[in-house]
Order: sequence, then structure tokens, then C-alpha cells
Amino acid sequence: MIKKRIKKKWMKYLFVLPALIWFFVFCYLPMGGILIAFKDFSIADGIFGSEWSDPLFKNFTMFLDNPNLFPMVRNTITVSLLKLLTGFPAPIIFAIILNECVYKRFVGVAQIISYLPFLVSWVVVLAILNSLLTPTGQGGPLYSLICWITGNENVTYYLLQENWFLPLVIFTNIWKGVGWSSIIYLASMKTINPELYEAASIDGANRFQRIANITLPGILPTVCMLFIMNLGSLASAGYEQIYLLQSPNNLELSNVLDVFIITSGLENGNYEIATVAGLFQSVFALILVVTGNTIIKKVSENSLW
Amino acid sequence: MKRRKKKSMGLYQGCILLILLLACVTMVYPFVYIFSASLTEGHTYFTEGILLFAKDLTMENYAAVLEMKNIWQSTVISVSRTILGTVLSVLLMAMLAYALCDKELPGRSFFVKYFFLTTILNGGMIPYVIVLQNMNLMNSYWVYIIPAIYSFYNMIIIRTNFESIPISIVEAAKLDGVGELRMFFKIYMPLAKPGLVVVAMYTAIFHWNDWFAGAYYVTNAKMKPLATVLQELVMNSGAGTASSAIADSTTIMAFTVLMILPIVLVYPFLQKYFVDGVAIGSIKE
Repeated sequence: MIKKRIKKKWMKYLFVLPALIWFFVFCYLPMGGILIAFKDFSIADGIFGSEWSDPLFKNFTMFLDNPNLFPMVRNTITVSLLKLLTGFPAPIIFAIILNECVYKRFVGVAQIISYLPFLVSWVVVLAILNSLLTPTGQGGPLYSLICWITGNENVTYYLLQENWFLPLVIFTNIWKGVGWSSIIYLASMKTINPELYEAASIDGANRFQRIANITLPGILPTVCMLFIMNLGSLASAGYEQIYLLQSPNNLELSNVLDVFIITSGLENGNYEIATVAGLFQSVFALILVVTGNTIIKKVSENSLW
Repeated sequence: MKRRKKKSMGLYQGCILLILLLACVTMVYPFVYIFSASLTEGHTYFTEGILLFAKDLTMENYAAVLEMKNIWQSTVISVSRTILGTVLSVLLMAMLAYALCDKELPGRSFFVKYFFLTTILNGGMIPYVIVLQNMNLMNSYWVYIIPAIYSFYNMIIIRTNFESIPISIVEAAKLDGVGELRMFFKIYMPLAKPGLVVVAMYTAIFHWNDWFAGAYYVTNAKMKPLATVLQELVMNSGAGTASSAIADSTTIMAFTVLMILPIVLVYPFLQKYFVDGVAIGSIKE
């Protein structure tokens, strides 16, 4: 019986086959590649041909003995936590504001505009930021604005300043993502029954009560789902953004695991240590997502799996 | 009473409008600025600066970009990988989604778990790069295309669109004896257009913007995509240091505008489909 069904659907298996192979090669094989963390890896001998390191956890102890490890982990968590705390609620607030606005044509235009930053790359964002913040010549407009607000009269390279690193990370992160991420919340607000709002008005609920008691509960399942998915990102600071905003002056704050893996592994050929660092990150992310999912499953029905 | 309500309504809406307006200006001004700057003569830009409109209108900066070494090769790489990569990705992901939306396909739940697991588990950057090396993808054009074919979430978007096709249409086609291939190409694909458009746009934008592969997997300068060329320009200009040459900065801006332009020209026409691309609630089995 089942054989017959499989035979009848051979075409569908043919459709799945390339994906099975692709995911095996580009996702499951690298998981096996974690073995590098336990080896004295040489490219010539490959993952399986390389000698086991002696002692087995040599690379781990080397990684843990790195004096930069603690600051690096601290920076990674600081950056990712700040980004989650600001970047996660921002699109929810933006969506609520868009939803409250009665000038629908303007809302449409605002939405289209708000998508644009998401669609351009981080390199473009940095190129623009660079020109807005340049102190050379007359100074970029954003540079002049900051100088005017803070009363700063000295020539300052804000992009290179340590104390401006985190604010710039947070600001560019919100600027880039707020419009795009709001799409899903707006879509979920559209599914709320409008009669609820009418009933609430009749009962004398004010605008803020309506937002708190109808809009927010209405989008809660979506919020939970996205929150779980975002929890995993706590383990990484976001390679592109931080790599591009990093400068010798702000290393104290900008030296994060994501960049360390790329620079030590890909640029300096320190494969084993970078693999260990990546393994730590993966395990941390996995724990976060699974824990988040379990907790949310306990308190509500809105889990990811 | 009624009047007072109306007045407070006006104030409330006024505040909302003001916030939205501010947000819009923050998001659109940087683009207007860089566009104007790219049209401003380099020396004027340096000495006088601009605020909103270009001064000393010139196309020199764009000419300087077009005279850059290897710029045409890079353009060919960028354009071709965007087109080829997108077509291949969308077709293969749609095929996978088509198979997975058949609830009676034996082995389906294993397949879904097999693919989903890769979103929460991964081996990290270095083992991945070693795999690329072993596959002989390093320094090959295909390193831009093949590793970027599948994305679990994009596949889910297409599958959700397939699942929303009315059962009656599919049943009617089955009764007419429509074969599997025709069913896929003539019924499923055309009816899932919004989802396919969104996924195609995601994929195309990924290819157009991706500088990472060009920076780390390819050493030949002639094979670097435009995004990598821009990344090198921006990083080498020293991110705001005084060393960045005057003329250079407006050239970089012209380059930046050329990277933004295709996106700006296309996405407003596709934005009505965006909502169909946020089918996250349905990953659950």
C-alpha cells in the first residue's frame, strides 16, 4: 500500500532530492566539521585526516585561556542584548502608531519609505553614515546636528569614538529594521475583529485602553513567536554591522565573538580556535531558543514547535 | 462634549502624524542626501558641504565610478548572479515546497524535521568554509550561486502560499488527469504568485547586496561583485578618518547610489506582495 503511494509520487521525491543533498552538504556536513575543534587541523589533511589534538581539549583550553575571552563574551552579550531590547519593541510600537493613524494614504507612503533601509546592505548604511558624520570640510549634516545639540566645538570623529559605538549600533539597527519588521505585526493587527474596537468605544474605553486591551492581546501570538526566533540572536552580535562599525579606537567595546571568528579563522587561518568559538556560539543560541520555546509553551500556546 | 472629543481626537492624530513624519524624514533623508552628494562636484562638496540639494551639478562622480578598474567585470558578476541565483533558488524552493505541501507524502514529517533542524543547529563559520573548500567552490563563480540556493524560511513562505490554493481547483485538475509536472507549473506556480514574488525579491536583494562571499571566498579581483568592491572602498577610505581623499568620498557616494538605485526602482512595485511574505506562524507542524 505505502509502496504504491511512494511509487505514484516519485516525481515529488525527485523534487525533494536536491534539497536533501544541499542541506546535507551545506548544513549537516559543517556540523560534523565541529570535529575540527578537537583536532590539530591542517587543510592538506582535511577534517578527518587531521590528527586528534593532544590533549583532546587543547583547543578549548587555549580558547578559554585567551585573556580577551571575557571582554569578548561581555561585548557580544551587551551588543546583542541592547539590540534585542531596543530593536524588538521598536517595530511593535511603529506598527501600533501606523495602525492608529487615520490618514491611510499617508500610512501607505510611510510604510513604503520605512522598508527602504532594510533593503539596502550594511555597507551602504555605513557609506551613508560615514558621509553624514564626517567632520571634514563643513561637516556632514548629522555631525553638525550632534555638535549643535551637545555644544561640541572640537573636531570629533564620532564614528571612531568609543562612547558613540553603542548608540550608533542601536540607532542603525532600529533605523534599518523597524519598518520591515512592522509588516508582520500590521498583518496580524488586520486579523483583529473591528467589532471589538467598536464595543470597547461604546463601553467607554479610551484610545490607550483599546491599544492595551485589544491590539496588544491580538498580536501577542505573533510577538511570542518572533521573540523565540529572536532569542537565538542573543548569542551573536551581528557580524556585518559590527565588523563595519569596528575601528581601532572602539575595540574595547566592539571586539565581539562574531568578528573574532571571521578575523582569527578566515583572515589569520586560526581554524581550530575559531571553530571552538563558533561552537560556543551555536550551543548558546540553541540553549536560548529551546529554553525560550519551552517557557513560552508552558505559559501560552504560542510556541515555535 | 462631542466637540471636546473631536478636539482631543485632532490633537491625538496630530501627534501621531508628527511622529510618523519625523520617522519618515529620518528614514528617507540619508538617501536624498547621498543622492544629492553624488551629483555635487567633489571640491565643492568638501569646502561647502550640502544639506539637501546638489551644488555645482556634475556627472563626474559617476564617470569616475565607470572608469574604475574591473568595474564592468564586477557589474557582470553582480547582475548575472542576481538573475541566475534568483531563478534557480525560486524554482528549486518551489519544487521542494510543492512536494512538502502534499500531506499524504510518505516521509513528509521526516523531511520537514530534517530541514527545520538546520535553522536551530549549525556547525559555525569555519567548518562551513572548509566544506566550501572541499567542494572546490573557492574562487569559483558557483560559490555565489550554489551555497545560496535554499533558505528554510523562504521555502515556508512558498509552501504557505501553495497551501492557501483552494482545494477545489487542485481536485478538479486531478480529475482532469493533469500530471504532476503540469500541476506544478500550470496550477501551483501561477496561483502562488505573491509568495513567489516576495521570495524572488528577498533572494535577488540578497545576491545584489552580498559582499561577504566576494570578500572571503574569492581572491581574483575580476570576480568580485559590486557589493564587495563598495565594501573595500568604504573600509579603505578609513571610515571617516582624515586620510580619505576629497574626490574619493563623492565617488564612493556615486557608487553607493548605483547600488541603491536598482532596489529603489523595483521594490515600490512589489510592496503590495510583502504581507504575503510573512507567513511565519505556519512553521509549526
